[in-house]
Amino acid sequence: MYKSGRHIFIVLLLLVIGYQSFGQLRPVIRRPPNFQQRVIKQQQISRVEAVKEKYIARRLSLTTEQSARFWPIYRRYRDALTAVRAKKHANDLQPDGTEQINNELFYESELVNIRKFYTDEFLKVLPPEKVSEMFKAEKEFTNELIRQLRERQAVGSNSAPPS
Amino acid sequence: MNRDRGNREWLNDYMSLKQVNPENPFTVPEGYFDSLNEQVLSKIKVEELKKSIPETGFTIPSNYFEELSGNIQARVNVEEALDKGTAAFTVPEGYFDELTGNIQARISIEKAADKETAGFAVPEGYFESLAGQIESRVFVEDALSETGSFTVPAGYFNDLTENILNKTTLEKKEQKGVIIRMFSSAAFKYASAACLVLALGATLLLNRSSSPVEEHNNSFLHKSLSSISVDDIQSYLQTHLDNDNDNRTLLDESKQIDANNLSRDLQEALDTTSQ
Repeated sequence: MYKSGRHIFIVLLLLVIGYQSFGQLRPVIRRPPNFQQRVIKQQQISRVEAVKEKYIARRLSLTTEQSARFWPIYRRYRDALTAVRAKKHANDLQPDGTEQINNELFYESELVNIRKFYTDEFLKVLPPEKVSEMFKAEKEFTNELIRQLRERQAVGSNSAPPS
Repeated sequence: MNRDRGNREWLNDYMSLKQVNPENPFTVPEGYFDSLNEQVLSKIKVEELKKSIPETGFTIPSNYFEELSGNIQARVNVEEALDKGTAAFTVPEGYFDELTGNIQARISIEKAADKETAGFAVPEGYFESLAGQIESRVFVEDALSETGSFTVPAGYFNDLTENILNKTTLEKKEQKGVIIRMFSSAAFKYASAACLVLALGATLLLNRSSSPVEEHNNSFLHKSLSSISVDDIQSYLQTHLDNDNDNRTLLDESKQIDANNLSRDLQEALDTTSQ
């Protein structure tokens, strides 16, 4: 009885030690604190971006050749704007002061510069009418998103209907 | 002979005598002196009459013209009455043909009537026994009335008012109202149903074609975005709006939505994005 109890204790001890030592061997991946939220957010944005691309394609009615040349430029343009906007939003959280003001102005001028630069790029592959149409479609898409959000929030909160 | 000769000679002697008509111009009309006497007498009478008329001429009785119209009307009425009177005395057609028969019938009727009057004879000693007969008759009737054929039940008049009221009011309650159907014709029902369907259809059609909200909801973009969740839209707008200060209220899900605030913020967001 005593011997069997000692054997069981030894086996359990070995099991516990082995589990802990195995856990120690797993590689440690250091991730940002809100990594999961960022991934989810990125997926959400991607779904909206997909609809946006469909809408712009429908509005521009591009040929196959134009599409092949246009969409890579457009995606670079979109990523550049997104990156600058992210920095601009981060700057809003900075303490007030001259540096914050200068950064704000800088990022706004950067957004304008990116638009200028990519407008020239678009003009190389598309006629001016379509480039203009593309910018209009982007604005209308954003407006429609705001309108939808307003409508859904109004319905969800049972408040006054949208004017 | 000499005288004639002498006359002729005168004519030759005096030319002026030849121009004179040898006939006697003074002639008397024929039968003048026969009627002369009458003429003289009549002339005298006329003269007398002229003298009898006063110099003032014809005088009018007093109130002559005032009564004139009445007199004329009376005269006219009298003449009309006289005319009618003459007309009233007319003999019916075939009067004289049936006259004999009528007279004969009248005579026979009068004879029969005379016979009937003779039939109403009073029995002998009638009036002597009349009083006794009447008394006995009254006695007999009294005896018959004692059986009490006309009797009033006990307490009849006490309950009479209540009985009448019960009968009248209960009958009124039991009366059912007269139901008049408003839509008695089947065609009217179908017509009203058709009108209703037409009105509904027209309203739906007009709303669908004219409402900008419906048009917007049927657009490609609206349909495409209907599959996107609110969280997706919020995430996208948070990163893709250049000026997010204005959209903080819009995108803050936990915040209670104020309708006025929301519309103002949206307007500002629209202004920002459309610049």
